[in-house]
Amino acid sequence: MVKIRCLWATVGLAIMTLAGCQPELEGNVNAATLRLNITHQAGGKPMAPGTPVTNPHGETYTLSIFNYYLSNFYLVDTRGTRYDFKDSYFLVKESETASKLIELKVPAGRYTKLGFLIGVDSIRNVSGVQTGALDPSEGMFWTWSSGYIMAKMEATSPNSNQPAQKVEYHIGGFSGANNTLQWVELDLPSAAEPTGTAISTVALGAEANEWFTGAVPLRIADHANITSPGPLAVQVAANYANMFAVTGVTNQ
Amino acid sequence: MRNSGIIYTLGFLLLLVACSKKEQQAPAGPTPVKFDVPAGWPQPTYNFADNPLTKEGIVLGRKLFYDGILSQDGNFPCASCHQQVAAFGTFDHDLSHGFNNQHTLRNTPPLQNLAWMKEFHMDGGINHLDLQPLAPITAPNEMAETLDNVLGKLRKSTVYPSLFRAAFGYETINTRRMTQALSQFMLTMVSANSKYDQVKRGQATFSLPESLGYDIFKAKCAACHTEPLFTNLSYRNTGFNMEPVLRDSGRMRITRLPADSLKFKVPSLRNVMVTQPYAHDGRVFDILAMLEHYNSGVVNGPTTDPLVRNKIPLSNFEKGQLVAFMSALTDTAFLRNKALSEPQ
Repeated sequence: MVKIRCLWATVGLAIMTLAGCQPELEGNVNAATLRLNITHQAGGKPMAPGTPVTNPHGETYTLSIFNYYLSNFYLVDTRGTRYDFKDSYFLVKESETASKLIELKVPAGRYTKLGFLIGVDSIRNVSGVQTGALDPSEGMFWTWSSGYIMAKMEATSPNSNQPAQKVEYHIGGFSGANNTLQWVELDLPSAAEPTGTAISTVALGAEANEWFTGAVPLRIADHANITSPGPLAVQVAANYANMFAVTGVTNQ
Repeated sequence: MRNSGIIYTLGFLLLLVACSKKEQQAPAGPTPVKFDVPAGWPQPTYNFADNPLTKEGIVLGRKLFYDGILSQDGNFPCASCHQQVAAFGTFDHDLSHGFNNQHTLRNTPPLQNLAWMKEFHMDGGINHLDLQPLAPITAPNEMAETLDNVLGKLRKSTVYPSLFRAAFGYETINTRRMTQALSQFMLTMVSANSKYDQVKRGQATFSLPESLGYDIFKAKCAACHTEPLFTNLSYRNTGFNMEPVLRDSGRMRITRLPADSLKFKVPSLRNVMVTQPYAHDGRVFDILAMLEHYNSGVVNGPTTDPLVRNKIPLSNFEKGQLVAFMSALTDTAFLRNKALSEPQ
């Protein structure tokens, strides 16, 4: 009898794990798949950490880390209806190919705009320790002044006045004047039409050089090290908010 | 035999039906522990709904708190700086000692009544109790470890996976569960049984010096060291100039506002007689020197608090009575509570 009991317990657990607890599959509300295929560029070429690139100010930099959070995705369909995907948090890392492919479960539809937040919304900055992509062990969280590093670029540059020619941009800050959260809304060049059977793929490019240009240009020679919330971080965030561009949409 | 087979089959089906969206708990879940709010105290700030106290969670948190596994070289558990005998501050040290013969930036704050704190660190840089342990664990001059390494060591350990399963239902070890367990243990560090508390509950009577000291306290100290927590959790510049080596600007490190320069969180006076030295960097070595600071030592700068700008005149007589009153804030039961000490 003991053996049978164990068997049932094992089978039960296995089934529950495999199939029993998938939430919200019924009704097929979000039965379609929208895929974001992210490609990083630096200086107009495919990003290649370790290879020197020149920024718009003529400064050479060699990337080692290029990470950022994307969250709070939304889509707008041809009728202008907006669909929000609240619990969508992704950490995109140049060093991890898989992180550059984001899949969203969405309702089937015809979408013409894609929107998201660069960074982690303020609520998740003040609600204790998060899990998954938001786990502080990802190295994108300030332990001494609570809050996420929304985007991180590390490099070396002969224009840096820091030790070992380091360039460190750890951009964060989520409240008041130090808020670095940036909403991005992009028009899709052609409609994304995910259905139950066709996956829609949006090709999204992100150009590192955009960090250096914008309302307040960023020169490595002036600021090679921005690693805390404040006006500089806010300026850099306003710059990198322009780094994304949709380069294509495929439906198949 | 056949009947029990049917019963188990039905039970199994029921389990499937009962399956909810929430994460599965192991069949024998952890044992809930009720958090008692002392009479007359405000409601706690900590959201227990997000991290309900359980016997097993507290056991795990206590083990983590006393285990050097959280530090790079194994020598610096939380308890190396947070010693029960000093109300979980560092006994008799101005600055504490961390990894590789380094000093900490500040005097170790006592750990008590954390459920009522809104922000942590003397500069208030940390906005949630669960996030607090990440700072000392990763600080190069404290425990000097990375979260990845800590989690890796815990996962490989022969004891921790089962303790995590007991506390949270699954063996999954991640940052949240580790810090939630630490919070559960630290939340049980409630100091509310000093002589002062017993007097408030009608179980004891102040001596004359204590009673006179209480009156002076209410007149001259209580604006910041507000009862019952004996802190109003605000940030104040109490007239200590900047230490030239540490160059610690306090709250301004977080807000970057010049108006916050040299402001530090008002510390609780509970157990104050066992937490010497005093001030954010421990530069004041005993309680009489601390009182004399308010009487004559306040250095006025742009952000010095209006309440101390003209100093707080205290006669020797008054100082003695204040010390008598503050001694009545020592909670011996807390300092000796075996449930908070290193697990055997």
